[in-house]
Amino acid sequence: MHKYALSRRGWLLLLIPPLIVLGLLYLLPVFNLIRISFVEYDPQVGIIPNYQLGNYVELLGDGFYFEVLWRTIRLSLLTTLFCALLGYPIAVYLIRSTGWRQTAMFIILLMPLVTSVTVMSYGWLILLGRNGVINLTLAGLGILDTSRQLMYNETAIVVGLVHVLVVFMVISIAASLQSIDQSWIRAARGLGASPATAFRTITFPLSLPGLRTGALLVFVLSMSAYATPTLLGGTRHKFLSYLVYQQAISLYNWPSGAAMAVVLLISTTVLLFISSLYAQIGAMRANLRTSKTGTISGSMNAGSET
Amino acid sequence: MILRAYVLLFVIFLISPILAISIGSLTETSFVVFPPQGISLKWYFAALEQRALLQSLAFSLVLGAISATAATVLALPLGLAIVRFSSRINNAVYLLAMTPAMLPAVFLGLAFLIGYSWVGFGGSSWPLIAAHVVMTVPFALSLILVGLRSVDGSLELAARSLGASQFRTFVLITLPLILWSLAAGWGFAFLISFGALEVSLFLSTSTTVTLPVQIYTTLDWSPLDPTLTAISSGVVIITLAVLVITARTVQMDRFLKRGRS
Repeated sequence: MHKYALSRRGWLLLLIPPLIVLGLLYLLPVFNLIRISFVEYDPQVGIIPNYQLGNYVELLGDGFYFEVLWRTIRLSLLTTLFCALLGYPIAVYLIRSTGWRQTAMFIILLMPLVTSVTVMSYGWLILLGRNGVINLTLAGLGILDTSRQLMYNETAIVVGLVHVLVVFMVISIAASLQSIDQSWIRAARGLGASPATAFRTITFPLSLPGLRTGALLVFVLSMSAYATPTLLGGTRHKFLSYLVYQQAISLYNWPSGAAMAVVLLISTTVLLFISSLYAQIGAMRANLRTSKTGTISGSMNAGSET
Repeated sequence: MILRAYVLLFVIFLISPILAISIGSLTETSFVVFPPQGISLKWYFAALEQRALLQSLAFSLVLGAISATAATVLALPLGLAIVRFSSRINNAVYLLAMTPAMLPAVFLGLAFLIGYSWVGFGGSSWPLIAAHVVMTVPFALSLILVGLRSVDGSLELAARSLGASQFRTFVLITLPLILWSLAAGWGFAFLISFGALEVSLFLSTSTTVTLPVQIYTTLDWSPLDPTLTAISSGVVIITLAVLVITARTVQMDRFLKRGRS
């Protein structure tokens, strides 16, 4: 595969030391966490090494837990949707621009992601607070009659999450836009398609893989968000991550916290699985349709999938 | 034209909280307002007086440097093994090294807390270092992979056929060719560690408090303290500096080309 390949022995020698480190520091704790989630817990005694499903059954009967789970899923979907809508044009701009403009755009996009999430939330707190600039502007324009609390609601959470995560969407879409063969678009234009038609029938369908990658990344990351919802959503709009922290640190109930963390991971993975299944079915149906009619777009779809 | 105007609005959206903090920290009032009233650096001097804040800043900088270095040292052999040997096992290795970036942060935090407490913390900072190394390996590795894949191997083959040893070839040919990706991987790993909150929140003890944890806990009881904006804008400046240097070494458009190959 590579011109300058390693011998099997060299490959093993390179691989073994980092694998030992990651195994000890990463794999072991992760499997241990899953193990702990099946262990019994008693507030007086602590952890009782008796494996059962009690921690998970308890979650099933907890109405508050489901409310939080539903909020986390709902706001993550909203965040993903807004990232796609707001990020798509930026991706188009990113691949059209060159030189320092492109570099500057990258830096501006990455800035919210790599700056500490506490600092970013703090910035929104200043802007959206009761005496924040947005409040005063809206009041000054007569849109709000008095200064109102714009923080500590679900809108603020979505704004904060989109702000931090949109970069994943933009870079994924831009990567797939970049890989589109420009001659197809020139051909379509040459055959009389308007720019809008060329975009709708060629560019957009071919950028769907990037859109999907971006959506998956944004969704996974916002499902597990902790600081943004906690700081911007206040006490009444918790996310799942906060419940895990609360159980494990404030209530010192490790097994229950571990069960919640495992459910958080599984619910994210299941939703991802459903969405990729749905995308595959959609692709299959599209293939069936095009193979019947045998149009040029059929061969193009086939090309995009290789 | 419409696209340009939209991009401008979007850029304002992205940088407004950053501006709010850095400009808001210049206020003369004893609470944070934006836009600030008056211009002064007095809250920066006030921040310099707060030992807890400064200690956590120093701790985070050192922690970030150690973790990023260790993550790069681990990721380089992994990257070489993945790119330069064809084996199915490599897929599993890649997955193992990359998943820390995809798992929920609280899942990781709790796993580290429970797992490392077997060995015992004793108020030392090794659990934080270990956790940050695991968390930052994916970022170092993904950049090193971009670097290694951009080298096609002809130069190495030439060096080997002229009699250089494997080690000499690596040090004299491969390493200089991928140095930019090592530097960029280190930079990203540092930034991830420097900004991480959730995992550190689980592992911080009273003597090992990272800056994000310190800011997070202070935000709870005095959100409008201007000292906090001063130290936060310090964080912004450090982040921006590392990001700009990293971006210059990477040539960001390499990210986009990856989709092509």
